Amino acid sequence: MRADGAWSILWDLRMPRILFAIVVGAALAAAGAIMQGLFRNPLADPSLLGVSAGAAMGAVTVMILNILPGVSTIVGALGRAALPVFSFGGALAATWLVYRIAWSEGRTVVAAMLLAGIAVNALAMAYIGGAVFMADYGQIREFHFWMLGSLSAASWGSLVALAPFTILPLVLIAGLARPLNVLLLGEAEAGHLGFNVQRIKRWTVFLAAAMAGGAVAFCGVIGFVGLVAPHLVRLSIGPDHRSLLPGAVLLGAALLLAADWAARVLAAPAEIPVGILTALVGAPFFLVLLVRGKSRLFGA
Amino acid sequence: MKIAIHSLHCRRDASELLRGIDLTIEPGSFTVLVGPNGAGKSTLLRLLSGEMTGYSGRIQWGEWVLEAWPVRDLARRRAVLPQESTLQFPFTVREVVLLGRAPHLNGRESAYDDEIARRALVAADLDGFAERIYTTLSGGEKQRAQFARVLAQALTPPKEESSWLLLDEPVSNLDPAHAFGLLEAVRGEVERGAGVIAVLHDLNLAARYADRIIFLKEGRVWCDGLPDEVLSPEIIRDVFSVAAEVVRTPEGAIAVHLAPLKM
Repeated sequence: MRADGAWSILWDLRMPRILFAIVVGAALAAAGAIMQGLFRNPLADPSLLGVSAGAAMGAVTVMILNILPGVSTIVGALGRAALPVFSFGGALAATWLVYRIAWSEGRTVVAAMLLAGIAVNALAMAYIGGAVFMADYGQIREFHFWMLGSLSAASWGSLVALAPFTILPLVLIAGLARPLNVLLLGEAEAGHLGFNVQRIKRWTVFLAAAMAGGAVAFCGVIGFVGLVAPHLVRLSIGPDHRSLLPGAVLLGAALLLAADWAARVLAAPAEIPVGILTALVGAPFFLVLLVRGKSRLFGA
Repeated sequence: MKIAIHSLHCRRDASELLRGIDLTIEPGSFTVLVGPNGAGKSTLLRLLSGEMTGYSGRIQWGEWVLEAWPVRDLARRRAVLPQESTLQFPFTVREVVLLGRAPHLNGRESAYDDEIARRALVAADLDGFAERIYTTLSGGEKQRAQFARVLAQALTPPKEESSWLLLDEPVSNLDPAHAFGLLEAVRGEVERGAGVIAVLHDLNLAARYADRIIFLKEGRVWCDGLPDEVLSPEIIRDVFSVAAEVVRTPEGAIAVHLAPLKM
């Protein structure tokens, strides 16, 4: 009986949680790495495309605005799947909007994508603010916890649901390694070297949105893994995406696994939202990058 | 493979960048485009390379018009050096140069590609820079590294048809010795059969290295011919609005001295 209980904890709780941390950490790191290649900036992140903000819109819709007539029907029908479905939908919708706005004369202007992302983020924040304004205390707390990020949704069922949005893109990004290397030279240069730049951009945005959107849909906002993991790999083995992408995937998985372990152990039996830990470690790291890279980024 | 341009017009917004260009440019020769700022030199190069779209007229590379070329096939036959580059990631110089091999690769780089990269580095006087980090180089060294990348793209096995090089101000950041060195390397490729079209601002360098000089002004070909024929005080004054003195050195080289026009 006791052995069965231990087995059940291991198999039903710990195992999916560990795999969840690995898959989500890998997906966040890979999404960050390919976005940084696309924007040719080591500080870029899928949230620039509105992924997190769009997912948060989906989340507040389920948590707070589910009193609206149409929404309540859909949320009721989806049951426990409502939160991930809405947040993933929100992430994709926001990304699609950003991508379309930046579309001009048959190609996507990367700088315009950045600005469109800022505008879409602001719009999403207004929507979220409006929802929070109408919410009661419990709903605000629930949404706030979601924003902090957690792997507590881990289960065999959610793992299976998450897999298509993460495992498949993690395989497909291998095909982006050389194109992204060439893209680092510049868009014109990539074209001169015989690459279809528009196709590289489209695939990068699509795969980053799928991976980051999938992760955020199940885990809320877990920041900085996508920034820290690729950067550490770049520092140690250089910016060649053929080694950077696998390296970032492994390191991202390891980082989130460690962070989630710390989140469960540090304040046991309570659990710290893992997004707090990744931000606590990642934000100072980000600032160090910014200060050290300032001369190059701003020409100062 | 020769380049044939027919009645090329290009406009952006309200301004007419090119107003009817007709040119045929043969491989195995070094063609230099000169002209004042805004004359259309870069526009012409960018249209030829396919980087810029939206023109009327016809651009023909060999037997096919530009648009009919699969981008990768074209990339195997012509390499382009843009005016400036913005690479901000810490690749080594060797890695940057090897990126030039991308259109030729199906898997990883082979020993042949490494050999090409080594030759390109030597040609750009970057022997010994292979393991340096690109972002730590000086402006001139970066320009030479980019040139080596472009050269690595253009170098072909001995029996294949030679490539084209399109170079937009390839020596703008170089000291005189390296400017000579780079253009000597270009000249060497021309002797091996490559076609080269370069934008240069230094008429003395154009006089020394070009087989043919094309003066552009206000989107038109003003004058086109051998350096001997076209480098005259009158043409230089008409195109650049400066006073010029063209003399022959005892060695037979053309030297151009420029001065502001007297008002």
